[in-house]
Amino acid sequence: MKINSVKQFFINMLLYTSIAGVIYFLYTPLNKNSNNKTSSSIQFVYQQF
Amino acid sequence: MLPFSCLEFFVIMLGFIAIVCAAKYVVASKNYKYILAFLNALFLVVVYPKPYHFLLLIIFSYAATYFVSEVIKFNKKILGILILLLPMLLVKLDIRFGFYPFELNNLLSFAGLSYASFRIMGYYMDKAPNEKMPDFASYFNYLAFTPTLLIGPIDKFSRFKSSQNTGFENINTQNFIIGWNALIKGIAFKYIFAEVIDRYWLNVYNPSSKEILHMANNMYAYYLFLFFDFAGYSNMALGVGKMMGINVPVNFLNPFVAVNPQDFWRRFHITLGEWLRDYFFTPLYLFFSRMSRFKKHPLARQNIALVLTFLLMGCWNGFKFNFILSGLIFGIYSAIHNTYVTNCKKKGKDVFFGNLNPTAVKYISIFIMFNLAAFALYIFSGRCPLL
Repeated sequence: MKINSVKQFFINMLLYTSIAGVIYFLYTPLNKNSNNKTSSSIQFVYQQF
Repeated sequence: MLPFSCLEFFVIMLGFIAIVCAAKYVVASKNYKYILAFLNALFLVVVYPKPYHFLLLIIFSYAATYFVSEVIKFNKKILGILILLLPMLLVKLDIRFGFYPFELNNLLSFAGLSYASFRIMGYYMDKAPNEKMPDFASYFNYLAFTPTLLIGPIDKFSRFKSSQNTGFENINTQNFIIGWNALIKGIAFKYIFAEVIDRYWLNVYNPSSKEILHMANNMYAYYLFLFFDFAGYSNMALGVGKMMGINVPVNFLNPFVAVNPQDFWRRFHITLGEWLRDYFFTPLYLFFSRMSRFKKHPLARQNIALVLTFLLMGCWNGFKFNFILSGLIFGIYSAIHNTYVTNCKKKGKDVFFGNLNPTAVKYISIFIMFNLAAFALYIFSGRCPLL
């Protein structure tokens, strides 16, 4: 599982950076989307009790 | 704080991983379980809502398993199962005993009760009559392992124990990278894909709208949302578990390419499918096999056992009409598919697709199964306005 190629390293770096960027965009308080509420299976489980 | 529900949880997990990795160099291999037990207990007591309720359930189930398997030694496991599942049954059936000054239901109900009950029953069912009870630390870790605490995947005790026995050895660079990749995949699934679907697709049309197109939109959106949300959670649990030295079973394996109901349950919530097969379908099928009226009808007993198994799955989510109906629908899908497979074998040819090209058959099957699963899960969601 070692990253053997420089290409793979940069692809991973790009992927992680974009994931971090999108997460920042979605969850920053500056994102004033009216649907800005996470409804997840975790909450679904919790709501049952 | 619930697992994977906020940023602080990830910080705590990072700390746990660091502690386990550091302990590898100073603690003897056989003591891994105590380090894990300490961390799991720490998470439960310090940040988990209703921690003592969970601890009480673990103590109750350990004592009850010992009592029914080593003291009373019930010949039929069903009595032991009923005792062990009693807390969950009281909560799910909403049976309330109001003993002043506390209500029993408040004491019994807490997040994670269902999954813990599944694991408790799994251990009791697998336990051989002469097998000794495990040490409490291993049993505690099996039920309270932080990444899988809330919604699985549902592990088996033997699998968990063997992973725990080599806990420190499992912590190495290769496993760390595998775990890290699973964690990143889970984060992308849950916090990006599921979140985007939820915000920008799932609520485009009013869920109570009875227009066919709106309902179809909500159906597909919910299916994708549920998959990304749940598979994301499972992947994160798998990733963190791997980095802490525990191999958590895979729970989702691209269910969108399933070609039939059987294949679907081997790809969607795999551990629940396996659990239902091992602890409900197989015993039920064997029970029917012993009944004289079913002896000559193997197909009928298979189908009845299938429908009852999926009905149980529906009921487990809660005794609500939408859950039970979706379980029944999945059961009917499986029974129809089982009948189709049996007929194909009997006649030596495909009774539905005939001589159609196998590749075409595969893609048509995927299309049909995708829509059938989306429909059943739409009913499950309780968002269908026709119910």
